[in-house]
Amino acid sequence: MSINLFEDIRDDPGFVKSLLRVALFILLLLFLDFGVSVFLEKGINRFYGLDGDAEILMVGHSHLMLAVDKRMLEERTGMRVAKYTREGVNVSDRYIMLRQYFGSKKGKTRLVVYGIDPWLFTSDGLSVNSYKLFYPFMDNPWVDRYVHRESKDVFDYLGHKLFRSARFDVLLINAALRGYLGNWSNLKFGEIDSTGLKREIASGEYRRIRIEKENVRQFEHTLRFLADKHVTVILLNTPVYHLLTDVQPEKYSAAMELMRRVAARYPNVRLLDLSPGLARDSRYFFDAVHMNPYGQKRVTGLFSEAFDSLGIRH
Amino acid sequence: MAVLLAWVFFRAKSVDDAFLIVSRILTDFSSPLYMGGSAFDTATGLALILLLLVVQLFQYNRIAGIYFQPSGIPRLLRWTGYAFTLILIGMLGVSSEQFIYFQF
Repeated sequence: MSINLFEDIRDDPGFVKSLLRVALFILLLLFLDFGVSVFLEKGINRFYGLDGDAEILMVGHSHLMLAVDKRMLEERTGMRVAKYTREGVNVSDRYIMLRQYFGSKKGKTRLVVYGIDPWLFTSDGLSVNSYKLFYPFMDNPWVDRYVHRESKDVFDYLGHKLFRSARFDVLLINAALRGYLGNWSNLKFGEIDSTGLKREIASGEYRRIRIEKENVRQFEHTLRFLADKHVTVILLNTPVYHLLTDVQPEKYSAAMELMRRVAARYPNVRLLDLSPGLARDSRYFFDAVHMNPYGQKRVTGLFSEAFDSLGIRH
Repeated sequence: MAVLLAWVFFRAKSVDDAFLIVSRILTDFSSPLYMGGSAFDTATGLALILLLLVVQLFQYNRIAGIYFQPSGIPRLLRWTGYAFTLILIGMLGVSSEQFIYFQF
């Protein structure tokens, strides 16, 4: 018996057949991988409103996601809404989202609703590795370059480039299915546990408001980008349960004042603060920063009523 | 199931509370069914458990192979199943540097 691998292969009559089988399996895998990714990509494009020219674009993270009812806003304003909101996106990620959106749109969008909160300039405690949120859009050259730059290693990047379905996770599968079903409902049922929140705050377990210069710079950069696109921008401060801001009143005021000052430099930007009127009513909140369906209806109602006072015609 | 039931007694403030909770589990259906942190995750988990049960049923009935025995399922269907399993691992598997969202 030979110990030479090449001779073993040469003498094995089933080798070519096995090789052919492996090749066929890889082809089948790549074919199915492509099919699954196309299906999911279409679904998330529908869910985030990236599949058509919406007149209103909403960009933000989970606060905005749960605070505004897309369908209700469309009914009230008569305008098509794209709700491109992702969990945990910081100021830089939102800029990427806006670049991605405006890079592929024909220009029907005339209003951008940008979600803000007192932690807009705070990096800590939001998310890590957020570049991974953009894996599904790697076919967009600009997003591809961003993911490539941010990837920790080349195999991480190439793996997602080659195996397209690996760009999706359980959250995106959920979003894709909801996109196909046309379901944008807020499913965060229930009311905030104020007692538990008080206990957490007393033990120091709450997110501190910080103003970091890099985030302020990125925010201004974003507003300049939107000014160049000739769109009206509403900075929408979605309600935060008062206990979280009462514990750090100076920082809360400083963050909000800074946002007002930056917004005032741009004639196309308006700031709408819906927090003061709702922040003390626990019935609206699922937790300290997320609205439940009842709160969402209230916020959307107030927001659509404010359209005229903000000078936005239906 | 026994472990889950034992947790009720372990976490309850008193034995009376534990028995109250156990009795309510079996008799009180007024509240909506708790679906965990995410209803979609729970539904996915249940669907995958169901899939494993179907595979076991196929193996028991000698439709699917077990321990390298020949399978009665056509090759194309089997390969498609293997490919989908790999795709699911790629999508639902956890990497060491995954995106982490802190719920803020």
